[in-house]
Amino acid sequence: MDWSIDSARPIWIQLCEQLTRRIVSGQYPMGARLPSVRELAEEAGVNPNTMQRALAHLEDQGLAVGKGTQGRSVTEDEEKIRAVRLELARESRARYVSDLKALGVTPEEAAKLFEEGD
Amino acid sequence: MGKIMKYEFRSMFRLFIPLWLGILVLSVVNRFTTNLQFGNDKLLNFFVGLALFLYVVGIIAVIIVAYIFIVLRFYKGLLKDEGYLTMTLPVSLDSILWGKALAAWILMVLTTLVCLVSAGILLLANVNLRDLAAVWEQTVTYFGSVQTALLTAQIILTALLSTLYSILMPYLAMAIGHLAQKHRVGASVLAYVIIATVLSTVYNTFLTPALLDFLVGYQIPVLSPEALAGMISRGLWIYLLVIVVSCVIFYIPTRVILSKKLNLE
Amino acid sequence: MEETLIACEHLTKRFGLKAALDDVNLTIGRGRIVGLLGPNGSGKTTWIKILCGLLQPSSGQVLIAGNAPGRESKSIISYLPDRMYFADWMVAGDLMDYFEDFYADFDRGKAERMCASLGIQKQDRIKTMSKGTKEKLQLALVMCRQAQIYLLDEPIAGVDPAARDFILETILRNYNPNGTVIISTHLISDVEKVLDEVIFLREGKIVRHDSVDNIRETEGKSVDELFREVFRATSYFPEGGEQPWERS
Repeated sequence: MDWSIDSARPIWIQLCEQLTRRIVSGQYPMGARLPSVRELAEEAGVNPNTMQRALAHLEDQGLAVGKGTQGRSVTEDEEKIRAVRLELARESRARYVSDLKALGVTPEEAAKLFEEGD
Repeated sequence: MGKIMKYEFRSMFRLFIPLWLGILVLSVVNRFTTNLQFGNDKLLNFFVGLALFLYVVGIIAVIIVAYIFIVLRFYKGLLKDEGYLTMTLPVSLDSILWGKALAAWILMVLTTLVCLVSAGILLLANVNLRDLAAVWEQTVTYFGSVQTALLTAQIILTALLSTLYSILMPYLAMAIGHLAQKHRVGASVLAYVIIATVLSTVYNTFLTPALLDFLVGYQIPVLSPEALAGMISRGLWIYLLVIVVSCVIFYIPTRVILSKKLNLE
Repeated sequence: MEETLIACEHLTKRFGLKAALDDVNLTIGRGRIVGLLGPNGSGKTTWIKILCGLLQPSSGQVLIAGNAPGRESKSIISYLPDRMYFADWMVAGDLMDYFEDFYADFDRGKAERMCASLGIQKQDRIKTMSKGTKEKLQLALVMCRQAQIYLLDEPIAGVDPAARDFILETILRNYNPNGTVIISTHLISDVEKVLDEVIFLREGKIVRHDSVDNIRETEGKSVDELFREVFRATSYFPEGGEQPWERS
């Protein structure tokens, strides 16, 4: 996954969101060490202070754990990750639903669409 | 300052060592060709003349090139784009200015030496060494060996310092020219002309009469060799003093302008 | 170590009657990447030159890590001007020697590695290098110093997008928490992601000095958009401006 950053919104929030996605999707596995602030900042092409703020927030939310000089790693709390994943899924569903409503699709048609899959 | 000079030398030697070698080669060539007389053979005589002509032109050219090089190194190095690098170095302005001035001075001295050596090579072929030695002996006996040594030293010192003089003067002119916002090159040339004119007026008004005083005051033919030597010596000391003072007068405004009024484009 | 790296108090610089910098007051701390933004002629380059000691202020003062501009400050500032400042008689190796000789904080090994990756050899003449190569070489040398302040004057103007990425990556890779990078530019959208704070300069005055996050949160737009708003030129209205030219 690449980083996609929109300059109109605070960047640290976007970084947080994208880091969260990486964690819940397993791109950063549970308990694994996260790359350093510098590395992540370089990868994303953003200011290290901004990345630092995003990672600190991730810690506050309980998705990452700071290990002092060892840097940060992903939490081992499976429950937590599942909860966040569900939360994001719900948000995605809400967007999906409002999109279809805006197009004028009925609930039956929507259900059929969903069953059709990809 | 030594570091500044190191890089001045690098750029200098890259250009001038080939030029100096060229001059020396030309003089060696001429040493042989000028000894050849081909009688009525116009073509070969032409080549001899050509070789000599090239040599003379070469000497003049190498001195002019040295001078232009010195001026350009100062102008481009401090007052144009390269100045952005030079003037932000963590070294004192004095060491930058003196580094450039001394390197320029050494360039002129070396170039002059090369020309003298090459002239020597040429003359060796045509002039009898013994005649030269005889002239020298006569001078020494006339003035006495101490006086001759002193006078020779003074003359050499004067030559060396006036080389420095001829470097610091265009430096000042360029610094003054830099004060103009536009047409800086024109302003520098104008400044140079003005300085040169003012100085030669001052010299003619004050210095020459002062020096002549020494001469007119006494009857030259009546003077003993020692007195004559002493008189020339004193005159040279005064001249030397004037040069040193002028150098200081050139340096100070240059430094002040470059530290307070620098404005690179 | 001084916490405030750069402090300007009532800094003013006049050229003739015109004030290129007008009563500038600001402080900049360490470990920041700062954008100095403004249209051409707003005083950005003048401010940078004063910091470097290339210009003297008309009034007011500027302190760099507590010192007035001089030898001390020059040794901790790594300056990248908006032009080529190489002596054209040099080859790449000469330039390395030069930087190594004059700057104690120059990392020659790193610079050589960077040059190698740019395809620059020791004996390449500067005279024969393309403009793009020279610009990258200049940037490499500047960034390979472990300086406390990096002053980059228009580093990405007139440079192709790949080179722009290279420049921004180099800046991020060399980030030093004790040092501060100041990027002066009018091409904001390319750099705003790497900035911590920005200074908007217009006609020599500071019109805004804020962190980028603040701007995004309070204005709800990117720094680039805010810049366009603040500096919109009235003469670009389709109906024209206020007055036509005078007819004589």
